Amino acid sequence: MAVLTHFDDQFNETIRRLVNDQNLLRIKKLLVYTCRNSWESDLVRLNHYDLRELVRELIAIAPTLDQLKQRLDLVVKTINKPAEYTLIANAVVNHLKKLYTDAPQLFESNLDHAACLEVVQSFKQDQDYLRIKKVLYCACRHTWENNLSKLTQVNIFNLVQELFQLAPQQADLDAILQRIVSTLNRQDEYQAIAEKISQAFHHLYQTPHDEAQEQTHIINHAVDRLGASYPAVAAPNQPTSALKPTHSTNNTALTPPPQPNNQPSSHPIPQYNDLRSFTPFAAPVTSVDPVLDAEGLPDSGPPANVVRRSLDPSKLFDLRIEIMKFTNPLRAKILMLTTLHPSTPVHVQVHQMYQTLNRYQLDELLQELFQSYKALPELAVDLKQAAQQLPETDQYLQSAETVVRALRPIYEMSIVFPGE
Amino acid sequence: MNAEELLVRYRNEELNFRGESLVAVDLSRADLIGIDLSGADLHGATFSWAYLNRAKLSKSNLMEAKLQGANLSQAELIGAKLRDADLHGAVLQGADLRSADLSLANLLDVNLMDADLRNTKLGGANFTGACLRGANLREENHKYIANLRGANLQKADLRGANLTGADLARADLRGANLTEATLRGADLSEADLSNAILKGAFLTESNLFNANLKWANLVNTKIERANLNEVNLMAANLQGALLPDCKLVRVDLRGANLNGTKLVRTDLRRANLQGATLREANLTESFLALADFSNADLTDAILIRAEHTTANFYGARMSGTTMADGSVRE
Repeated sequence: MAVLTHFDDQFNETIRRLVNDQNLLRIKKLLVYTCRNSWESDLVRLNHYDLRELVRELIAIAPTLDQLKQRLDLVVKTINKPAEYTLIANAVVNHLKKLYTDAPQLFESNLDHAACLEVVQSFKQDQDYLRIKKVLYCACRHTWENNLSKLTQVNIFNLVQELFQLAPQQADLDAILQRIVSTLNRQDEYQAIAEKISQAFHHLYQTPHDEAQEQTHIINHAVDRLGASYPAVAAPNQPTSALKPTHSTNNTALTPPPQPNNQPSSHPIPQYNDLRSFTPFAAPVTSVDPVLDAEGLPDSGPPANVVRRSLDPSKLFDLRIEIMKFTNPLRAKILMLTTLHPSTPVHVQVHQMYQTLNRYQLDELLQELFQSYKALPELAVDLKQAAQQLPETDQYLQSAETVVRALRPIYEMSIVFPGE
Repeated sequence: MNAEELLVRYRNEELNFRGESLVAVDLSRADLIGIDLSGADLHGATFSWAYLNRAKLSKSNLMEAKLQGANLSQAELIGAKLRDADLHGAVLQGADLRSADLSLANLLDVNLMDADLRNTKLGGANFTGACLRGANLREENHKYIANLRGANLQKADLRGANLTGADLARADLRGANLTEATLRGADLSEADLSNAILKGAFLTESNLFNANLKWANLVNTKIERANLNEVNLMAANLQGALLPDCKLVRVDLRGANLNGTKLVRTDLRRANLQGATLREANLTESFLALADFSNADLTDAILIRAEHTTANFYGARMSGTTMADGSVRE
């Protein structure tokens, strides 16, 4: 427990330094904006934010000092007073530097790549490989994907890595898998799949030394990635209406059970939602054509809890225009596809690239981005990184900026404040 | 002439390449802004990501050309042959495509804002996700029959587009946005407009026979004297829409919102209006033979001089409804 104590000491010291900073208010504004994508100038609301929680979230978002600098740099550029907030960002980096430099191992992934490859290999040899991939995809992307071409484009190694990051402990993994299975129709069949995944991952969680286990625990404590990035969901059989708002990012509703093997790819899907689903820009979406009731009349609409975080289709037209006005639509598509599916071979062979791109629509990619990224700064960073991997980087960076600018009003409208 | 020669001459500020034969030439990513390739044979050529802004390509042969991601903003493409061309994600903003042939072309997610598409052949073209805001598709010359017949315009942005007289029969317009678009006299027979947005659109004298408008948004749409016989308008929103003198025989309006809708002198024979809401709707002089209004809400609706003797009002709410003889229901 020595490391834990040391970390706690460092963490407490960091918080103490932040609290005593003469620019505490601005620091908090910057942290709220970076972590929650909300510009908060109301003092009462600002005081509601727990600085310790914000710092934990910040570490989760940026596990290395370089990533922290990069993220804050990007966020500051989007603020009205960039010069002033550059100083604030520098202050944050200075205060947190010691935390990163003294215990860098706390933030590094403890994933064993060789073990990870073994897990992937065991999945690939399994007769239920596709179903395993579907469950992994759902766990990582919070979307049930039936489209085979989409599934084959996703690298299973990345999914395994992502899921390991999302679930730092076996118990977390099992909880995620159970939540997914409980939303599916063929529960018996998918229960077996979940067990296969759980068993395979078991090797990843086994570390040779007690110290390593302790480190995992510390990482959980420090980063709390699960709480920050994976929304809580209703336990099986728990009525979703019983969920009470307690935190802006943790309020969810569960969609009705999907039919994994019978649905067209465009139909959902076990999805987890947060309160943003209820904002004016994020309209409830029915998954199928309206059905007729016993009297032959159309249903009045989906039940109140059948909603998922989704952009209002009518808003997608405006979004598309905003993007088309300032960048080439095909370039925007390539950028978004690379961001969402890094393993997609969009720039390998020309012919193959256009064939792949023909399967995606601009608005579908926008929708997927909005569903995949809870916070705009996170999206901005990933878009920028994707742009840097593509040829003609400058033009892709411009596309990245355009996409972020177009989505900003929607993300701003999507913010749910604690207590609301 | 080959690509290299053209590029050398273009760099030497030569712009005139009219009528040249450049079949299957590869000019992808080339900077050819303002080039004049009018009448050139560019069959099967590759111009992916090329800069062809303000290029002159009128009457050129661009059949099966690859123009993915190309920039053709304000280009002149009058009478150009673009049949089967791939224009995926291309920029054609403000381009002049009058009388061009775009049949079977791929126009997925293309930017056609303010483009001039009058008299173009667009039959079988894929416009999925295309932005045609402010585009002009007005049918001026009826010698072209195909036009947009059977075209895929799913989720296309056609806000404010001028589609007067356009042939959109059997077109796929599911989820398309036609807000304030002009569709006067357009042929939309058997078109699929389910979930489409037609707010404030002008559909006067259009033909919508047997079209699918299920769940469509027709708020404040003007549809005077149109043929809507056998149209599926189930659960559509027609609040405040103007439909005087429309033919609505056997139309399916189950669960539709017709609050404040003007249905004066409409022919609603055998129409199915079960569970529809018609609060303050005006059905003056309408023909309602065998129309089914069961469980509909006709509160404060006006049925003055309407022929409703054989209509079915079982379970309908009729508080404040003005009947054919001028009497008002309690």
